[in-house]
Amino acid sequence: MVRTNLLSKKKGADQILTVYWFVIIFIVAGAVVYMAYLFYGSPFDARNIEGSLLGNQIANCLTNKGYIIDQAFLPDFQNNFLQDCHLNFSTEDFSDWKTNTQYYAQVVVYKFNSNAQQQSYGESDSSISSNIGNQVLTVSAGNINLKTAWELITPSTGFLGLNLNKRNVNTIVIHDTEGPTALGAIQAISTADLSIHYIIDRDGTIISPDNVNQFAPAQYANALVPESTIAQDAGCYDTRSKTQWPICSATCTDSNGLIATSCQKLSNPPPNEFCCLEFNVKSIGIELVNLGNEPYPDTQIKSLINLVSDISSRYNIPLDRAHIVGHYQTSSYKVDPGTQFPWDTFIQELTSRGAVAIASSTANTEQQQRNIYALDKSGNQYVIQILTLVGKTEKNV
Amino acid sequence: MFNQNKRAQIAETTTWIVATLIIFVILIVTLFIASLMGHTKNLPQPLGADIFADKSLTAYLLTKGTNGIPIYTTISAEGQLNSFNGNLAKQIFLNFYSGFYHDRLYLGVLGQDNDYFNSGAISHKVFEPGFVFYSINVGNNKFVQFTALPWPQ
Repeated sequence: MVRTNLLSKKKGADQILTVYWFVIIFIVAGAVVYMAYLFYGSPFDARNIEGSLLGNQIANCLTNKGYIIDQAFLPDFQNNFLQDCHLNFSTEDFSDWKTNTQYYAQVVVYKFNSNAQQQSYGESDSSISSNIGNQVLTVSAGNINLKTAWELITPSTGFLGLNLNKRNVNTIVIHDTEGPTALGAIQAISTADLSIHYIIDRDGTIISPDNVNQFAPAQYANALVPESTIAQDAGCYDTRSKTQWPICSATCTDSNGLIATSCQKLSNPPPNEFCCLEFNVKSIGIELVNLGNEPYPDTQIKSLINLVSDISSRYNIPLDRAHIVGHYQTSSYKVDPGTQFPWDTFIQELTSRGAVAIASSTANTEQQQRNIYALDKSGNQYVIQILTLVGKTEKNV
Repeated sequence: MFNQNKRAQIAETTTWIVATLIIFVILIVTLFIASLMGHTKNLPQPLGADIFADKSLTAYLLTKGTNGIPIYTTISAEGQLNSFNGNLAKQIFLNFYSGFYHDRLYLGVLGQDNDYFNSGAISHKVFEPGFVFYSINVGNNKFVQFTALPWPQ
């Protein structure tokens, strides 16, 4: 009886041991499979090759046997650049691929000045501009936000890039366009002899001085100025009726006691009569395309958050309502960005994101910039500069 | 007897617990190593091709000098670069491609050094792995070659 009990106990222990080993084997096998998945299942980074392929395709499209194709200078080609070069950027599932696709391509054609001062051996890119003549063609397509972000992180080369001389900026002023389109806003700002640093369209597209030509005729391009230039956008503040804004140190009314509505335009303003140039001097202005009485789309606000966050990181601007202001706070006769602007959620999301340079979120953008020397049939010399940007997405990385 | 059995059971159980822990520790370590080794992989760029330099070389040879004669004809006749086409070659190829090759690029007549490019041994590199190489027959059994060695990526 005792022997039987011992045997059954031993059998039970063996069974437990067997189950234990099965469990261990399953765990080890699962871990091995997971390790194989981790090692072999990691994605390949194809952006470099994608950028090369894109650049090569554009190069092949634009030149043939040393000559730039005749159609390149026709408006039809410039309008149908992607189709004519057999490119299709709308490969993503995004409906708004112009702002979300991971591709951007730009072609700039310059005259080549072969009579430029000859270089000694070893001189390189620093003197490249000596051979660069007039710009004769600019074509671009793709996600313009990739370009904007890339330019913000790319130091000016004097050849392609922005002059990033920093001003002492401590305020960001948010406007609305009081109109339905970016084009209308650009025209209106230019016609009124005013200016702005950025315009954000309803779909989140950020329009800057560098890409304004894609959105408006050249004669209106002066509506947008680089951050290094003081824009005429913030207007004046009436110190009689409102609390004086901290960075505004003098009165803001003219000699008749009226609000100076166009003080920026005066070439020689009387002393102590106009103060609010301070706002323009120390601020960066952003226009949002909006009628002023309609809700702001999420994509537009998201783009604004990214841009403000980036600007704040570069100029060390605190992310609060004292430094990120509406136009109505700098001009007493203005109401924009209007009652529909979601200040609370905007500031909340902005502060939770923090001051983050767009550069850090687009540091993985693969950029390739190559040049081709080419001729036209008349023997004129050109430099074709091809810029390709391939951003990071789940599809290619 | 009872105590001895109990002690043996405790020892055996402890052994298994320790063994199990060791197995788990080894698994975690190897998983961690696998996750480190399994990061995003870069696809290597194909070597030996630079379509931009190739196209520029063609356009360069088609460029006419002040006498209206294309560069390829001049090189074919003279057998070497002259001050016009040599300096133009520098303006094009050093300016546009030195960022990729720095001083490791050469343009000239196949196999010959010239006064315009610091060829070193690059002018004699033909079809070697890793080198970008293009040559165009300009006549009279003369070949204009572009040779460059990209910086390692």
